[in-house]
Formats: sequence, structure tokens, C-alpha cells
Amino acid sequence: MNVRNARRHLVCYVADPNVAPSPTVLKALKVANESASLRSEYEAQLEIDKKVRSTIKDIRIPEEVLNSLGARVAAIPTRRFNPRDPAMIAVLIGFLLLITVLTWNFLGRPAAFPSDALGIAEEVLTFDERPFEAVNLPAASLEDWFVLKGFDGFDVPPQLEKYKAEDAAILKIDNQPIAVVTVPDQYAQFISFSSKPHEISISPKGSWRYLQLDTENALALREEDGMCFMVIRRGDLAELKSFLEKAPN
Amino acid sequence: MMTHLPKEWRFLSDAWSYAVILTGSQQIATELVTSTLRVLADRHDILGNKHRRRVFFATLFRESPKAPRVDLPESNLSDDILKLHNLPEPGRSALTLCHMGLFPIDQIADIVGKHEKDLPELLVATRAALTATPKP
Repeated sequence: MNVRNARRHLVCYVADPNVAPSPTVLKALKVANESASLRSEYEAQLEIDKKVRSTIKDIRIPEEVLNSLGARVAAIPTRRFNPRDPAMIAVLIGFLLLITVLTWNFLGRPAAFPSDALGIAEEVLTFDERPFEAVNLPAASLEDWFVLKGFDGFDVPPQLEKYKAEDAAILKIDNQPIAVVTVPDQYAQFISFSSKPHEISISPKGSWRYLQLDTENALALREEDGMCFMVIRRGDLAELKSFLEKAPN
Repeated sequence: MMTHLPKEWRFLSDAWSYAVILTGSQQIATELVTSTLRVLADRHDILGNKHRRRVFFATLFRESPKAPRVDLPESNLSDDILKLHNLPEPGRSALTLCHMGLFPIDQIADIVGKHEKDLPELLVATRAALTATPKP
């Protein structure tokens, strides 16, 4: 510690015989002992402080004032529950916020379209390599075709079974096999993949989640028995919903 | 019979001493401390005794200029007290609070509305003014 720092510490220090100096002050005192000018300044300060201390100590609160203040303190009401208390309002707001967040987590998030499925849809739409093979079969009859290609669990919802699939492929997206079927006459693609790696769960079972992907495409997704089935269709959400509700002739 | 203040309000006697130095009058000091106590008693947002004490002293510092001024020194105050009273603020409060030993230096700076780094110069100037102040 240099003299300048020691001076700054000592100026703010008021010696009290009942309180031991802090280690910093002890260091500053040591520096003051080695510096004649600082020692002289500090000794002058001690003289002034001695007088100030004595002056302050001599100010005695009159007993009647002390009694009066004591009575006022005793009359301060103990804090009771008051719903208009700002602290209570803050607690209430915090509690409501917590409930909102929890509700969003338990109800809102599951109701949202799963982000993993959205990512798969975008990948399928922008897949550069097109390893599709012509199949020209009703969508429902492609299960065996996919099994032969190494993909288990391709299952088409009943209302889409009769749509004619023109070609099909198994794509690898994030190292997960994704079964894709194109249904050109309906401007649609059917996609099937395992829900487990993506932790997708949709309830109630067999219900659809919808999303307008962009201005051209709408998505529908359902999950059943560990498999997700997604429909990408050109058009808006209303058209997609109508497409899924009506059965083909 | 002497009234004992509850532990969390024992600082009131120090607050009164501080108010005497601020106002130069026992009567005005009593009024200032009483009015500050009335205001802070309703402040349920002040939690913790140390915080309450700091807010109390800061309120005394802030409100003391609004208190009525004494034209003539009170006969029951010593010359030494009046010397302290005649010091300029915020040095007067900084020096007094340093001597009271109730707050660390950073909180004293906070109470008197100064930065902690400005306190050493302020205290040097105040001590110098104290030795130079003629007796009233």
C-alpha cells in the first residue's frame, strides 16, 4: 500500500478503542508510521476526531423524548394481511405469472405444432437429392414396400388410404429414416416417421395438429402407436382440413 | 421510568443526536425524528433492520433542510455541538455518521448522496473547516 492509498483509508477511519481496526486500516497505519508527513496528518486528525467523538457522545436524548419515541414505536401496528399492500399485490402478480407459465407448459406447448416435425417438413420440401422410386399404388398398400426397403410402421390413416401414391422414398434426416410418399394428383406428400427420437406426443390419439407452413404449403400431423404421420399439401389450412375430412370416392 | 426501545428501533437515540447536529435544536430534532418515524412506520416495503436504519438516516439528511431554522443557538447546546451544526453539508453528515459508527463508508456515501471515492476529500475538507470555524 502506498502513502496515497493509506491516506485515503485513514481519512475515512475513525479510531474507536472498542473496535479493532480492519486489516486494511492496520496496513495504512503501518504506512503512516513509516511516513512522517502522513503520520503528522493522522495525528492531527486524531486530535480533531477525539473532540468530535466527545461532542457527539455528550448529546444525550432527554428521557421524555425517549419515552415519547418509545410510545410511538410501541403504537406501530404489527403487519397484517392487506390485499392492497403493494408487497401482496407483487406476490399475487408473481403467483399469477407462475400459473400462466405452468399452464403454457402443460397445455399450450403440447397444443403447438412440434418443432421437430416442422423441421422434417422443411427438409422434405427442400431435399436436394431425389431418391424416389415410382410405385403407382394406393397409399395404404405401401406398407410392405417400405418394410422391404427397411422401414417399419408405415401406416396411412383410413381416409387417405385410397389416394394413389406416384412414388416413394426413405430419406435420412438427422440420421433418422423418414418415409415419404408423393401424391401429385392431390398436390400432397405423406410422411411417416418414428415419434420417439423426436419426443413427439399428440393427444388425443389420432387427432391432427395443423400449421400453415408458408404461403404455399400447409401441414397436418398426427401420432399414434409411436409413429407420426404428416401430410404436406399445397394450399391453405382450410383446404387441408377439408382434404383430411372427406374420404375419397 | 425509562422506556426501552425495541432492539430494531434502538438506533433512534443516535438518530436524535444526528438530528440535533443537523438542526441545531433539540426541539426541532425531536420534531424531525418524530415525523420521520411516522412516515417510516407506514413503509412496509422496508424490510430488515439495517435497511430501515439506513433509510431513516437518509430521510433525516434529506428532510433536515426543510425543518424550521433556528435564528439563535439554543442555550442548552454546547459550543462544540454548534460548531458541528455550522459545518457545511454533506461533509457535516459524513463526519458525524463516521463517528457514530452505525454504517460502513459506502453506506455513508449513499446517505449523503456522494460517491464513495469522494468521501476522503470531503472528510479532509470538513475536518479542516471544523478547526477553522470560529466559535459562535
